Amino acid sequence: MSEQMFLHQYAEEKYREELEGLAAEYKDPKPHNWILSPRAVVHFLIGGSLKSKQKISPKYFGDKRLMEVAVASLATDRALLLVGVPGTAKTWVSEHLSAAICGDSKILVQGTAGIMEDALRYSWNYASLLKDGPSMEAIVPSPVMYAMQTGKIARIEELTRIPSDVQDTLLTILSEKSLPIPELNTEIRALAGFNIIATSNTKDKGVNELSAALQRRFNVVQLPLPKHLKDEVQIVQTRLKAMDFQIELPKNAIPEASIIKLVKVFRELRNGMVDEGAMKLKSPSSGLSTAEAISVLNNAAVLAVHFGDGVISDQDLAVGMTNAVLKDPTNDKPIFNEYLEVVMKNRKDMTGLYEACKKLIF
Amino acid sequence: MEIRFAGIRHHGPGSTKNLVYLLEQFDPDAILIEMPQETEALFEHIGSALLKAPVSILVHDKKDPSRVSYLPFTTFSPEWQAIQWANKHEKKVHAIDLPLGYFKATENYKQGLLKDFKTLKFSNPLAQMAQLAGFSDMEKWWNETFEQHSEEQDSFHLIEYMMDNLRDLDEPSNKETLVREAFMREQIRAHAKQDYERVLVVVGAWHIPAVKQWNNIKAASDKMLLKPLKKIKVDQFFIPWSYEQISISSGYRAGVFSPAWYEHLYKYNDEAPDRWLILAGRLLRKKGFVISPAQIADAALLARQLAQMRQLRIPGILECWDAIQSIMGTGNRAILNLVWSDLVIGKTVGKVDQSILAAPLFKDLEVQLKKARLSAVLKASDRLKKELDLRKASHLHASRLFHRLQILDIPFAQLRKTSNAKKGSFSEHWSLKWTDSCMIKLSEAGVWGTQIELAAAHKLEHKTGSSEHLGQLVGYLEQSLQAQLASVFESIVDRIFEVLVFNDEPRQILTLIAPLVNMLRYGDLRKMNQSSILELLERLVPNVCSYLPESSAHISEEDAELYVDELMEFNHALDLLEESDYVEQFHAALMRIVKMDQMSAEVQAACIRLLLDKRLLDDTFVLLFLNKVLTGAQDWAYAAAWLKGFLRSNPDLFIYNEPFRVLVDQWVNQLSEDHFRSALPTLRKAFASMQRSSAGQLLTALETPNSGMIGMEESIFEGHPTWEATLRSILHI
Repeated sequence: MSEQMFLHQYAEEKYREELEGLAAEYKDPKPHNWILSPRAVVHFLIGGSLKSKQKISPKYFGDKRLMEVAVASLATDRALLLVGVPGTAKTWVSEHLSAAICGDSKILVQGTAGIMEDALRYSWNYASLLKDGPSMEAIVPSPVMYAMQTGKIARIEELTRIPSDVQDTLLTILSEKSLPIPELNTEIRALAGFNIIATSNTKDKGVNELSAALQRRFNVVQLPLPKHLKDEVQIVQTRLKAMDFQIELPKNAIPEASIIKLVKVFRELRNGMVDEGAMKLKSPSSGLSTAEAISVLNNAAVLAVHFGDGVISDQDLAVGMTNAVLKDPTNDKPIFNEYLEVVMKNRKDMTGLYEACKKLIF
Repeated sequence: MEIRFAGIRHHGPGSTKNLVYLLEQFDPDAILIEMPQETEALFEHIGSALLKAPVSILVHDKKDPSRVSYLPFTTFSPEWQAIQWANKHEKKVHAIDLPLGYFKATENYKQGLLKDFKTLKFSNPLAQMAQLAGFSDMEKWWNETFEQHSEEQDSFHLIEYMMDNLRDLDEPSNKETLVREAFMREQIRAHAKQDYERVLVVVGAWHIPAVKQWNNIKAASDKMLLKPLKKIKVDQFFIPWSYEQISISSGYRAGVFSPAWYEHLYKYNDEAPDRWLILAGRLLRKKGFVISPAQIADAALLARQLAQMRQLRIPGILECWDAIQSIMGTGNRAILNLVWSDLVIGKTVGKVDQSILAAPLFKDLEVQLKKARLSAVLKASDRLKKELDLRKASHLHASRLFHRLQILDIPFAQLRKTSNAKKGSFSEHWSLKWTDSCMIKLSEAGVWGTQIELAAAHKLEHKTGSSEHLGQLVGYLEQSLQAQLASVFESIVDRIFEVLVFNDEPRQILTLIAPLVNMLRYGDLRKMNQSSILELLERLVPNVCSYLPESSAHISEEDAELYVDELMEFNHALDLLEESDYVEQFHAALMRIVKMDQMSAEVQAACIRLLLDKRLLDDTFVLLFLNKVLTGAQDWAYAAAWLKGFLRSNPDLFIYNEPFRVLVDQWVNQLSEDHFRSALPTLRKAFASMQRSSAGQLLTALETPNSGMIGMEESIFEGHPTWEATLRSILHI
């Protein structure tokens, strides 16, 4: 019987060898309960080879300074808040940070509008609560409480979607590093190494902004969209390679030219400006992030492999692109049309794509 | 005689500290310093109350003041501290670098004996050194290794050793460096013959290996190198300088990135990062951010952690930035820009006492005033009034000069606005008075150049480059036109095109047209080529017209009055321009506004009136529209605002156009007293521009029996003031 295939592999499993290599190489002091030193954690995220010639794959393509600030924040015992528009690798960074710091990226709370305090504190095993009354044994710890008890990193996704009164639960946890259990007149005290990495989305409307008191417990790192076309194309390529396709794709299923075309169109629409500068455009309502480009290419590849000739064609690309851009058909359609007529039509390498898009929107 | 060498970095606070320490230890009786030889004459003032750093020595060709060099100092410049130390302890201090008279002699360049700075290539072995030490940035490496030290120490041996090896690695130095070093060696030889016991030579670190060979290299070979050089006469004096000018961003080649940070390092040593973060917090508070002391402490902690991770002894400026961004700015980098000029550059400005102040611009001013036959103004004790007729060459010259002085902020000539002098006319009225503060301002303006024309051009160019505001830029354009600075004029136009790429707010562009058209009209007088203004208009007018309807829809009632004024000016400008294409586009836009719903009453009415006056809408249409506004479901306030907009360009319409008069007449009569009182201020404004005589005519017209007014008066205004009184109160007569 072969090993079970999971859709998602945890970062600490996937990069076990890299983490071991880094731990062996970096001898500088580590904060308590960290498996790597802060510099080694940054190395893990940014990539590059070790003295032992072992290769560390890059996980974050962007300004190294941002990663240094993120790691330094966690090392100073302040919690870390990663913010950015959707698709700027916030979750990705938080997962790999926790894997490199405490070897466990699974301690996760997904923030939603309906979340209760229990999800951040603890709940009760009602059977034993009724049988023996309140006791430590009857407590079911939340991921945050578990992280406190083990000195690990707890991750909270979409912090600003959590209602404000529930958010405030974090105040004591972050300032006193303890979690009171009034029912037992006791408290859980956090072990050294405990910290929180939260993410939040700047594009959502109707979110619950952090209170000033809570904001103060977090160091904020804004993850920007990639600055240069080259970087963004590289991100897309790497992420596509790392993707776990259910059915293996042929090697050239996604030609580099398609990636460049798509990323370029997304960037220009998103920035409201032609890459070469000097011409202003209107931006559609959709975010058109790097992550979306990846998903469009992924879909196009699947279309091409299963229903086409195995290589992404302009038609395949146009379908995904049009769907991604026209989130709000009445407003986005004229904007996209203007882009097609003014920019895309005049680019020699995009004529095929232009015609395919034109067919789709009319 | 004992001779020692100290290799420094210009403006490096660490170098300065080490140097002062060395001076105390070594106690030399003479200091030889790498400064152009002529500047020695000015050394006596350094450290006296006459100067407050930052200041700069300005050196210029005696015959051609436009050929200048600047040698700036800050309190943390090693040269400044060394000279100050010598003056205080009454020791000798000599300037030993190649005189600027050589650099200013064009002959030397023609014959290839010296090279122009612009054509010099700088190989950078220090950058390689930094790379070896694991730094991506040479500045940062030097800072960390030599500047950010707490205890003063004699690190000069270390620098000397490093430079010895680097010079060996590097390709032979360029000719200029060789000549300078030969000259410095010659000077050392000369001073060594004096009766000194201990001599300290202070030069840029790079020169150490060459100058310390003074005793081993043959004097004859140095003399050979220097012999063919020509020298001219130069003039030098102190002028006030500022941190802004010393920062690299000002384009000063040997500047420092952040003068304010260096000053902190110099003053506070290891406490500099903390002090600097405190300053950042305080500056941000002034900008309205809530920054608690705890946040500053957190930022200091984060900066330290970052320094540790980046293997630095204490946090540098980058670590502090990261901490400010993450903790005070919630991750947003833009927060730094808010305090950039105070925090990073610093606002410190130096002072030079009037007794030693010399203004090269003053010499030029004297020449220029003489040309304009106005030399007497400088000695006159009274304010002088002068009317200029720009058609006369000498008057045009004077006007140009005055406008240039205005660009330089010299309060000498003030343009007087006279009631009957219209824009574009031939005359200008000036009021002239020379005062002491003019002299100070003139010397400060010396930083922009040594001739009034060049200085004004340079300053305006600088302002242009840093402005992103279209209105401001068009203002500069007008200044450059009046001051006849043709090259700047073109670069401002270029800048406007540049800014338009990211700022094309229609409302703002609308207001630019009138001043541009005005410039076109009187620009001829200033003998300037205005084809680029036409190009600008070609780009701007269609842009305004195509966005006009949409942007008008966003105008609120409160803002409408100002907006209608802007529209009127735009209309007037287009009329003057007589470009049928533009006019057609504008009319098409107005037509669309007329047809739009949800438009401010005042704006819509003003547009209707414009079209009516141009006979593009007929009376019947407008009457129907007016009828709808006045009698329809719209309320009285809407109607009043509508009338205000409609009458803005000219209220006399009601005198000769009976149907309009009657309609409005009826509407006013049916208003209740409360509504009438509330509408009164708006209606008064509507009629505000009416002449008294016209108002009388309107009254007479209303009193004629066939207006139908008199009969209605009795019935509607029962118990109300009579219609005549009503009208009087509207017309304010």
